[in-house]
Amino acid sequence: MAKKITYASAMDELRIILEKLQTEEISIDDLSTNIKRAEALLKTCKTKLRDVEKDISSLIDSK
Amino acid sequence: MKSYSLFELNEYIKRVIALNFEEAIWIKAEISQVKESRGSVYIDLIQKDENGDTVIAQASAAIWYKSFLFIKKKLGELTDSILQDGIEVNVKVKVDFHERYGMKLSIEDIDASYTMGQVEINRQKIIERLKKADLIDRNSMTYLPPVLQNIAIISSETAAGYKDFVAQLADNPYGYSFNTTLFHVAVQGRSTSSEVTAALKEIHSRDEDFDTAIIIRGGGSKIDLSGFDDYNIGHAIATNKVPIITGIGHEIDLSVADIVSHTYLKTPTAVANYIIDHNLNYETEILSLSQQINGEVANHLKLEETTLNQIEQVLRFKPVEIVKWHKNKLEHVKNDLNQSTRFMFNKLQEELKNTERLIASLRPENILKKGFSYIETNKKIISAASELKKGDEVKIVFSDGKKAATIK
Repeated sequence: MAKKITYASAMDELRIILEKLQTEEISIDDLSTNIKRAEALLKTCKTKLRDVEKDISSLIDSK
Repeated sequence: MKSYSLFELNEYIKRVIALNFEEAIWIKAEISQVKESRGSVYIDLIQKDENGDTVIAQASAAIWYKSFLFIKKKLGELTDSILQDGIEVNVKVKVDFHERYGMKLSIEDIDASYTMGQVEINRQKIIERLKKADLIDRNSMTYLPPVLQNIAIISSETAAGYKDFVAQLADNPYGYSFNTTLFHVAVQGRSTSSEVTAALKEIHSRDEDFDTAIIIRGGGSKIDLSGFDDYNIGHAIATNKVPIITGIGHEIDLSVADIVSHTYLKTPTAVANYIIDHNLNYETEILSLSQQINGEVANHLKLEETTLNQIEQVLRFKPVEIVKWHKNKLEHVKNDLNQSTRFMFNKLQEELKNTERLIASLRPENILKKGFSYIETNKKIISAASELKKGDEVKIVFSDGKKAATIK
């Protein structure tokens, strides 16, 4: 995985995988690789979201 | 040569004056100095040239105790307003001459409406002049910062209005702090113009130091405020880099200072409230914006979280579903394969049996059993009559044995 992926590009990639999954364009050979990648991206997104949330609440609290 | 004594001269002048000024007369003049002593008022009256630069006439006048009582009863509070240096008056005077003290004008009555009229005429003239110079709206176009904290105050430190203003600012319920700088000036009388103008010029040169400058004084009559109907003050306000707020206690009419200021209010207290409200508006706006931002951020985060959760859901069930689908498909293929293999096998078996049966039925011994026989010579099967001639020895083969025969 790229070292510093942005939230937006992680989300874009997730959506592409999701579309493949939903239209069943994905082959069994690629399924596992794609799912692993999607889980990693999801984790990245969630972590980033949580960090932003923490940052914002600490900004608001410090007022 | 006849010489007179000074007393004789003065007595002569006194007689001449008494003869020529039997009755009191009305004169117009400007008050240049006022002093009150033991119930009487001593006034210097002057007249300036048309440009207002040079004094062309001057006389001492007095309002004696009795006349003063009469005037005070007639004019009330206006008396003090009119008896100020710099005020134009129309007064009824009796011309007196004393051998020792010289000429003195005894004021018996004051025409207040003249002074009021003069004040108004003066005011209108100045307004016209400022209008021509396009200065009326100049200061109102200066930028009034959203937070007013560094405030220059042009006032008299002894004025009640100044104390009211400072107290009102300090008592604001929101805990705002202010840095005030007092420019002490006369707010009444002749020196008002020069002192207020000088203060305004200093504030103009220190515009970085002040968010606003305010001009305040306590209430008073229209004549009291006439010091602010001044071209120099008007000009210094209009051209100031700092926005000017006035609170000079007018009741109905606006002074020149009010007209050219950024904002005018009736009283010093009103100015203090205006400043506090101005800051409060800004704080309220900031608080509301901050709430809006917090709300928007929370919404945005929530939306992203929901999206991520939805993606997670799909990720949880979709791959399993796909694998299951493929598994099913595989199962079908397997079943199909089994079925078709069996079918094929059966078919082949059937064919094999038929062939076997056919082959069996075609075996020679079986044919012989059906009543057929064949002829052979020396183990060679004869299949055509032409192969035999008379006298050949042959064997006829039956299903149950052979019999020898000779061809005839």
